[in-house]
Amino acid sequence: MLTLQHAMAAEPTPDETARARFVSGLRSFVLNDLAADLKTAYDRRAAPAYAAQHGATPATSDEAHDALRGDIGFATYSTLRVAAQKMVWGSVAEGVARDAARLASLADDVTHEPGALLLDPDLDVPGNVRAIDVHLMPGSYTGPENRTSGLAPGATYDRGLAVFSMGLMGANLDDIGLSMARYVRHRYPDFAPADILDLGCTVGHNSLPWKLAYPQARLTGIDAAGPCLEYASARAKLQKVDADFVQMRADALSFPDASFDLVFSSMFLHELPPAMRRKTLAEAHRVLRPGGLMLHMELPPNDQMPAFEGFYLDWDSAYNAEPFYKNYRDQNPHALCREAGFADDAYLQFVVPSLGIYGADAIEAGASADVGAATTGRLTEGVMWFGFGAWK
Amino acid sequence: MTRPPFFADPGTDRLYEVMLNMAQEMWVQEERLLALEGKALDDAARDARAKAMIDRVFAPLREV
Repeated sequence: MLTLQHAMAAEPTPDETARARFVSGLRSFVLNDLAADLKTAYDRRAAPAYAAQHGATPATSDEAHDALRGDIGFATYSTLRVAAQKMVWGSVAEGVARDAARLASLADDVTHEPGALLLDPDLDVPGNVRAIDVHLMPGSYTGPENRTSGLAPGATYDRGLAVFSMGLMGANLDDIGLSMARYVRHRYPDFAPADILDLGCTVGHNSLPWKLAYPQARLTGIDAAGPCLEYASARAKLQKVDADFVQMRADALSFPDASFDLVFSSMFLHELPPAMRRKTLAEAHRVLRPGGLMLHMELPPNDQMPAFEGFYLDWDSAYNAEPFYKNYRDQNPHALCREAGFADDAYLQFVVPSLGIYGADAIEAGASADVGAATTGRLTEGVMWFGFGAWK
Repeated sequence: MTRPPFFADPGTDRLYEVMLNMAQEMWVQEERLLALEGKALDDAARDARAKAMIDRVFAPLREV
């Protein structure tokens, strides 16, 4: 089980640690062993039965879903996965509440360190951030009390993600940022961003790697959830990373045109309603300087994956309180970039090996999987990350 | 329950959750026992023991 390697993490009691360890182990069992069984059930029973009824095996994620409904392998996998997801948050909530005073004191002690924290208590926080229990996380990014301030939502998300990740997302949940930054630095050695923006950064876990990759750059993370940013700022300062965190909506950035050289996001676009997603990408284009790069780490698109692998990822949309996830995955990332104003030939996409699993050599050697591979975007042993974006 | 049950009998879904909670509490007792017995296992060793227990307890759920 992952123990976060930064000082801002809530400290669990031995019983809480044991509960969290069990949940991480259970999730590993579900996402590796039962996931393999789900594929077996699909190949042996569900797909052939679907073909017998419809004259062809499932060709889309939706059809794969239809084929699996009612299969005991699907019911077993799904029941355990939903239960394990709820147990993730249940295993950390008490510890965060008990440790609240200590965390507040830690945050107070570093307020003078470099890095601004600008909150906007009047911001119209969108419903996808505050009104849905995203990932079955009670209260989502603003907490059960729908807070406008306080450290608890960020601390819960950070500790919960540590349990959720089974160690596959880096020592400080930063593997996506570290892997992407390593890839960009190696692939584009002349690219030297002076200003970097991370959209929807939550607790900044994948923001900070960009400052490490480009120490001279000014790093800014934005999010609509103020409590996550309060936690993110303290978390960064305790790690001695200079970063600004500003509360604002990604679809209505308050930065002037041409303010940044790199606009990044990770696991963010799929949490946005479609109209907000389009505005966010247009805003990314607006605030980029000419020659700048927009880069998103995301789930791979359905049109580049086989039906079962596509459904395996879309499962979250149906059962893990990710209502916009499938809509996002049904869209074409190249078309999204084009609609946002980027030139057609400026598009890029890649699959990068996880730095923590495969090491820097694999990234720099250009090792990667096909977008449609079972390891792409799937939090399981051997995960690789999908990235796409465009140069302005 | 806000979503449809996965099993034909909704009670089955609930029973799974009870079973998982019980297994979790059993693991908590295991770690307490390790502490009382003075067995100073590191995180990796505890993870491996938890995995072994999970594999053993939930083996009947595997596809055969």
